[in-house]
Parts: sequence; structure tokens; C-alpha cells
Amino acid sequence: MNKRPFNRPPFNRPRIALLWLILLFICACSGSGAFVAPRAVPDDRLPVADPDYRAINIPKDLIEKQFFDQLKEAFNLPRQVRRLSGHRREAANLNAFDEPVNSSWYTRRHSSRRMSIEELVNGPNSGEKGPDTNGAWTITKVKNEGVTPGFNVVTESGVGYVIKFEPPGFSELASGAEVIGTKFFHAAGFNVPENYIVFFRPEILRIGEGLTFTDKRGRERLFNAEDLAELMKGVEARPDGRIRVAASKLIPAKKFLGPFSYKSTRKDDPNDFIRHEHRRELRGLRVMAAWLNHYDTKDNNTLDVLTHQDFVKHYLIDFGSTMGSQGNEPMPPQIGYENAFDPHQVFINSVTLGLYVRPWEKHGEVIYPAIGFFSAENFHPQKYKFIFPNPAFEMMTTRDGFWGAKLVMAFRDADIEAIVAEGRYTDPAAAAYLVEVLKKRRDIIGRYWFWRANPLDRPVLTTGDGGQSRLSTTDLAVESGLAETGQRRYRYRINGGAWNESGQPEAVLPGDLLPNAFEQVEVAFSVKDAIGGEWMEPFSVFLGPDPEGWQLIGVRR
Amino acid sequence: MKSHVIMMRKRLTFLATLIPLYVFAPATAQEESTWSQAQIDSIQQAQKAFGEGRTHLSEKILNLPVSLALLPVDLTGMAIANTVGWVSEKEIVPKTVDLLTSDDGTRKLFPIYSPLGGAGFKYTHSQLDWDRARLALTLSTWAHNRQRYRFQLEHFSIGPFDGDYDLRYEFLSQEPFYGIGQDSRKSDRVNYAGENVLTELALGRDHQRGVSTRLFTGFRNINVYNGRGDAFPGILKDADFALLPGAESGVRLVNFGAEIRQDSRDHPGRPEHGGRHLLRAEIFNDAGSKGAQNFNFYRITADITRYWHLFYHRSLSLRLAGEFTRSLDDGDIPFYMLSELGRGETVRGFERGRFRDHDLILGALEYRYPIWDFADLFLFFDGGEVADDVVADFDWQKMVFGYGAGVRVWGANGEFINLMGAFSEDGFRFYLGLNQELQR
Repeated sequence: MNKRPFNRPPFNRPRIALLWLILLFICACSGSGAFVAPRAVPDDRLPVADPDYRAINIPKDLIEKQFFDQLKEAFNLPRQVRRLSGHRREAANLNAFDEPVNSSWYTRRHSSRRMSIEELVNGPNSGEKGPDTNGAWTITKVKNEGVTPGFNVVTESGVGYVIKFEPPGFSELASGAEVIGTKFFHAAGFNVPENYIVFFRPEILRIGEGLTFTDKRGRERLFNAEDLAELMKGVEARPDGRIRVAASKLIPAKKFLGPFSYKSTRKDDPNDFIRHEHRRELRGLRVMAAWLNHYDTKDNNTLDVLTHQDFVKHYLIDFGSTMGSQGNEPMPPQIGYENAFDPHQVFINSVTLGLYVRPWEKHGEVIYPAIGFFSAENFHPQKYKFIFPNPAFEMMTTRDGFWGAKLVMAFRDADIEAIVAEGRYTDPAAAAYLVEVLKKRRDIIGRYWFWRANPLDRPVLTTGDGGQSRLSTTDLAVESGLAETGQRRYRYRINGGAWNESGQPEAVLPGDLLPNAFEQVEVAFSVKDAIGGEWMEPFSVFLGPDPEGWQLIGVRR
Repeated sequence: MKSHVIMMRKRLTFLATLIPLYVFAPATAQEESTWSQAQIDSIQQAQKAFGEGRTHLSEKILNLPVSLALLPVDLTGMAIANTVGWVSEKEIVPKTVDLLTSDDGTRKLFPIYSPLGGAGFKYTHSQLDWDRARLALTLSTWAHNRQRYRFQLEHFSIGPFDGDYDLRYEFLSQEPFYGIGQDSRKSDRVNYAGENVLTELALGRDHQRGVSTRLFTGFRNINVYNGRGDAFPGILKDADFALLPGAESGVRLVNFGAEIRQDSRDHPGRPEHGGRHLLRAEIFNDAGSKGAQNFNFYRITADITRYWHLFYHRSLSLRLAGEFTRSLDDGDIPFYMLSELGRGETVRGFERGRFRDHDLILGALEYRYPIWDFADLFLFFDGGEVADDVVADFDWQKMVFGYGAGVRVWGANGEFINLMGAFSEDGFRFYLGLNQELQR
């Protein structure tokens, strides 16, 4: 009988290590070769049983995400191998054209089909113009903590709104950011509440019956007229006596379910079958949020609701802390450069003995109080840091980032100007400044991502009179004005054949390339800057047979 | 044969490509649509089969050995996060603060810690219906029965003057004593316990440019015992030290004095410019001490700190201080009233009371720079000397030095946490202070 030596296990350490490496390699190196369309993403708007309200504890969330999730991520070997091998896990909710499918989270809007200026400025509004200021507003809830007070009110027509006042000395700051942010995020495709800028006279406020609040001494008691007067003392009125506020219409819902998490899934929602950190729209939101200085992208600035159709819909809320506004004051200059507590930055600051001057320390002062602190100086879309690490943002791949950049670059100058006008700033120079900063930051994003990922997109297959098929794409760098056609060189190849250079991002399909019922054709496009550029990784468009010839079946980046 | 297999594979792949494109209708934004049961069943099945979660699971299984190795860290993280979450959820901190303080600032409660007094709380109440008067109560305790209790009535008005009243009881159970003079050795340490009752009344006025003047008088009763603990001998057990002035119990002193201060710091909590200057003179007289000794002496203190802004909130500060304690009419000076080097406020890196003598001079250079919104790191270099007569006996060779680094965390009331590590010829010392400014 062949006995194994007592001290020699079947798998010794080197062998186990080798086994692990092989497994990790297999895990990392998946995908390439023939085009396989991603599994179709099922609809996620089926009726569900009554989910529970779920609160997210901010301090707990911060500690987990800032410290322990980072540590766990650093020791997540499959992910690290993927990262090192350049095969990071892509988003899971994509169609064959590398776009997220419409869902309870997201609806493709401006970047897929250009919205008109009217649609952009209307945003999520359902045809109203905000709360009616001619009738009385009944206060149903009081928020008296923090610098600026706020109320929940119900108008005479029975519609509920959350009223947020401006911080003293900074009239227009928070309400402008709230409304402008809402329009941008809506046009980008996210679910957002209806937010309005409203001017009202304090005389229309009525105290709801039995309304209680927590006073400054922490006592829960009835809210009375004296309390209202005391609260309104800190609110700045305009010369005509009216007060400017942001009014956020309560989201129509059967039930509010609390915030969603940027990781994992909601266990009591069967429709929630894709982990949130693997959703394209949440990963790509990083680029949008960086553009708009939406630093505070924590779970608590989101909201799940049970719709009247009985499915859970996911909203982004609270844009009062975007661009130059931190809600109750101008955005501090370090926003975007450091997490709220940033151990990495604290370490760098400590060991450099103060000789390293952080870029934001050189920033100037607030120029327009209505805008707050918002600048394009030193803005870097990939280095932008949020309040604390966001699991979905951390998982962002180049494809996600490119997609996020497409959302941002979809906003042309006129779009930005029209949306900023919705901020209703008194000083035209302030509005012009905001437009200018947004344009600059947008272009920085475009220059970063459109030179990092192949910017050819939107393939279109046309058949000419002679029956010759032509496959054209759009160079987003040219379309967005960041590059000129004459300064670009394009090439394509069919099914791995020789490269054909072309002055345009298009390919002519040869006449002998006849559709075959079982074949697919790959047309790979590449682009470079005419002067000093290098050919970029190809953008492949796949064609399949169609009763009338060819049809587009998908793309690969 | 081979090309046939490849062709078949390609065809099958392509068919597989097309299937999902047509099996499920692309998701649309039609929220109003109603679903048939067949649709619901089909989509639910598709949701279950989608498999995104399986990829996650396979990665988790693959990473299992690492996850197991990290389990203690993971569990610690969970415990910390859940504890913080629980404390936050139950609103324990705001409820406690609400209970003892008020949002209008009339009542406040601060946690405190200092190496001398130990840990405790300071409570202030500022709405006493007596002008700007503020009541402050401080309680702190630590190991070996160390205790400090303090009652203060601050900023009450008497005519044109601002008055401060201070009543203090402290039992410092384990204070070190190394002998007198700069040559005292570390190995000579003995311990004593000091029990002090002190009451003091001060009257002063604030003038322009941050200048304030004060006159004060007080009474103190001091008892000295052997220090607690067995680590070092008690002071009264050592024959040499037992005869020290002040070593017997029942020392009673009255004091009178005057001081002038100027505070021109730009941000008193986190200064980058300006300075803080103090000149203080006081006389101590025996008020019927129980022993044979007669205590009569005076003390003059000068303390100057200047701050210079360097660049972007980096600043440099220089402190120069001197203290001169002299006998009056050949009176004695209790050893614990001599000038002292070694506390965190003097030359850092030495034990409290490491050097004592009649006179003291010290200098401290500090470079401070921000590392976070609420925290600065600072590097310091301290030097000092005690001597019987520092003017006549000063010797560069005898100076002692300490150097190190620390972190100051700032809160709404100025310095909140002060953490320092300092090296000296005696080794390394670590200092922690919590709301220390409030304890002075």
C-alpha cells in the first residue's frame, strides 16, 4: 500500500498558492473574442409586497465606508487581481450598446435623445409652478436645528412641500443650487423630486393643529405663534417683504422607505436583484456629481419610495449642497479634495511637515455670495473626493467613467445657460460666473475621459443607393467642440483584417461582405489626434444578419 | 475538421447572443403599465436567473481564506461601527448634552482630562441674573484617589471691576519629588501626596488692546503626606526630605498679588498672529501654619508668547518665561511652591516636578501646521533651567531640553484634544489633555 509520508499533506503551501493564483487568473481574465450580448436585464418594476422603512445611520456609515470597507477592499484578492490585470468588473445592468437599461433607478434622457430647452428647464416638474403663494400654507412639521430653519407645509390645494430657507447673508445660495442641481440630475436620467424657487409672504403661514416641535432646550412641546416669530427672525426677507425659499414637492408615493444604499441590495425588494455598486448609473453618477460639486453623495441624500404602482423607486434628493452651496453656507474650499475625514490626506499632510500646500489652500474668496465657492481651478474629475468613499463610485471602471462623461458632455452651452437661469439669480454676473465655471468643469471632464477612452460612439448603419452599407460613428470629442475634425485621424478594420485609414469615423462595408445567417461582423474603429496622438483602443461595433441585410447587435469598448 | 468546429462555435455563440435580445422586451419607462400574471412570472424568473449575485458569491468564496484571516479585524470593525451607530441612534450624546446644557449657551458641560487633575467634567452656567456672571463647577478624579473639585464664580461685577472667585479642593495623591536644584537625579524620586484647599478672590478690569489688570488675594491650606502606591518611597519616610520646608502638614498661606496681561492673538483658539503676555507678582505670608517654620516669600512671573504666521495657516510661536521665587525676612518657601520644570507647560519630556528651585527660565519654539480641518500637528523644542539664582548661577551646560511632536484637535471652544510625545534625557513621555484650556 502506497502511504503518503505523515508530514507531507497532499497540498503543500506553494501548491495551494499556485492553485489560488490560477483561480484568480481565471477569475480576472474573462471576456474577449466573439461578441456575446450581455444578459438582458429584466424589468424591475413589478409589484412587490410592502417593504419596510429603512434608516441609515450616518456615523456608522462613515466608519464602515471610510475605514473598514477600504481595508476589506484592499484585501479582496479577486478584485485586486482584476484591478491589476485591467479587467475590473463591469456594471451588470447594461444592454448590448453599453448603456444602462431604463429601470426604477434611471431613465435614459438627454444623453440618449436630446431634450429641448423647454424639457430641460421643466425637469421633473409635473406642470405646476410650485406651491400656490396666494393661499395659506399650513405648517405640518418644523425643522429648527441647524443654521437655517425649514418647514413641511401643505397648501390649500392639499399638496405637501418641504420649505428650505436660505442661510442668513447668502440669499439665493441654497435655493439656486437646489433647483439647478435638480434640473441637471433629472436631464441626466436620475429620479429627482420637483424643486421650485418660491417667493412668499410670511403672513400666509398657518400653524397646523396640534403641531409639536423640539425646542432649543430639547423639550417636545406645542409649536406656537411666538415660536414661529422667533424662528422667522433669522430668515432674510427681500425689500418687498417676500421671502425666497426652495420648495421641494413631496414625492408622490404610497410609502417612504428611507434612503437606498450605494452598495448591496434591498433584501425586502425582489426587484432589487443587482447589487447597487454594480449599477452603471450609480457608478457613472460619480462623474456627474464631481461636475456639479455634489460632494455630499451619501446614502442619506437618497430616498426609496413605494410608488402607487407598488414598486420601489429610487430617488436622488437634496441638491442644496451642490456647486458653490453647502446648504447653510458657501462650500468650503477643500470640498472635492478631501473626504470629511481623510486618513490618507492627514497622513500626507503630517509627514510633509506642512511644506506641502494643498491645492485648495491657495483658493481665493467667494466672489458671488449667491453662488458661494465654486471653481474650475485645479478640478480633476478622477481625483475628486466625496464626503466619504462611495462603494459604487469606487467600483467605477473606464467604461463607467466614459458613460458618466457622456452624461455631462450632453449639456451644451445653451443647455447650461438655460438651466442656470432657473436659479433666478438677481445678479446677472453671478449667473454668468456659474455658467462659466460649469462649462469649464464640463470641458475638463470631456478632455479627461474622451482621451482616456475611445470617444467614438452612437454607431449608425446606413445603406446607400448602390446598396453599399456604411457604418458611421460619432466622435464625441469633436461633437462637443473639444477637438476639430481636421485634427483627427480615424481608422477601421473588419473582422480583424487590415486597418483602413479614413478622414471620417466611418467604415464602408465591402460589397462581398454578404450577410450570413450565422455570422457576426466586427468593425473596429480607432481614433487619434493628427499631431502627436496615438491610436486609441478600438471601439468595436458588431453587426448581425437581418432580413434586409445587416443590423447592429452591439458594441464593445 | 478544426475549422468546422470553430465555425460551429462561432455560430452557436452568435445564436446565444441573439436569444436574450428577443426573449425579454427591453425595459421601458412605462410606470403606468399593468402586468399580466404570465408577465410577472416570466420576469420574476428572469430576475432570479439574472445571476449577478452569483458572481458576487463566487468572488466571496474565492476570497474566503483572506476573509477568514481578516475576520478579527472585520469583527472589530463591525463592533465599532455598530457601537457608534447604536450611540448615534439612541441619541445618547445629544440627550446627555441636552440634559445638562442648553442650545442658547447658558448651560454647558465639557469633558476634561489633564495629567495633573485626571478626568472629569466642567459644568458652566452663565444665566445667573447677575450681569455677565458665570458659575463653573469642575470635578475630576483619577487613579490612587486623585481628586479635584472646583467652584468658580466668574465675571461678576463689583462697581467698575470684574470679579472672579475661586474655591478649590484637590488631593494630588502621587506627586513626584526629586530634590532641589538642576542636579537632581531621576533615581532620587520619592512620592508625596498634597492636599490643598484654596480660595481666591480677584478683581480686575479689561482695558484697550487686549490689556487687562487684576488684583487678587487668597488663602490656602496645604497638607503633605506620603504618596500613594509602592512604586516609589514616600517623602516622609526619607529623612532628608522629611525636613524640607513645607513637608509637614497644616501649612497655611495668604497671598496678595497683581497681574497685567495682554492678549493680542488673532484667533485665541488657533492663533497665527499676535501674542500673549503676562507679568504677575505675588506675596505669600504665613497664616498660622502648624509647624515650626515661618513661610514668607514672593514670586514674580513673566511669560511671553509670540505667534508668527508663516504661510497658509502654518505658524511659528516662541515662548519665553521666567519665574523668580524669593524669601522675605528669611522666611521659608514650601518645596511645592518653588518653581518647577517638567510639566507639559514647561519643558516637555520630563516628569512633573522633575526640577525645582527658586528660579526658572524656559523657552519653547513651536512650529504648527494644519493636517485636517480640525487638527494641527506641531513640532516643538523646549529648553529650561532652574537655579537658586538664575541670574547669577545660569549655566548653559546645565540647561535641559525636550523635543517632540503633538496633535491639537480644535473644537468649538478652542483646543479640544492635545496629544504630545516628547523626548528628553529622561526618555520619552506621552501627554494627553482634553479641554485643558478650560481647566486653567
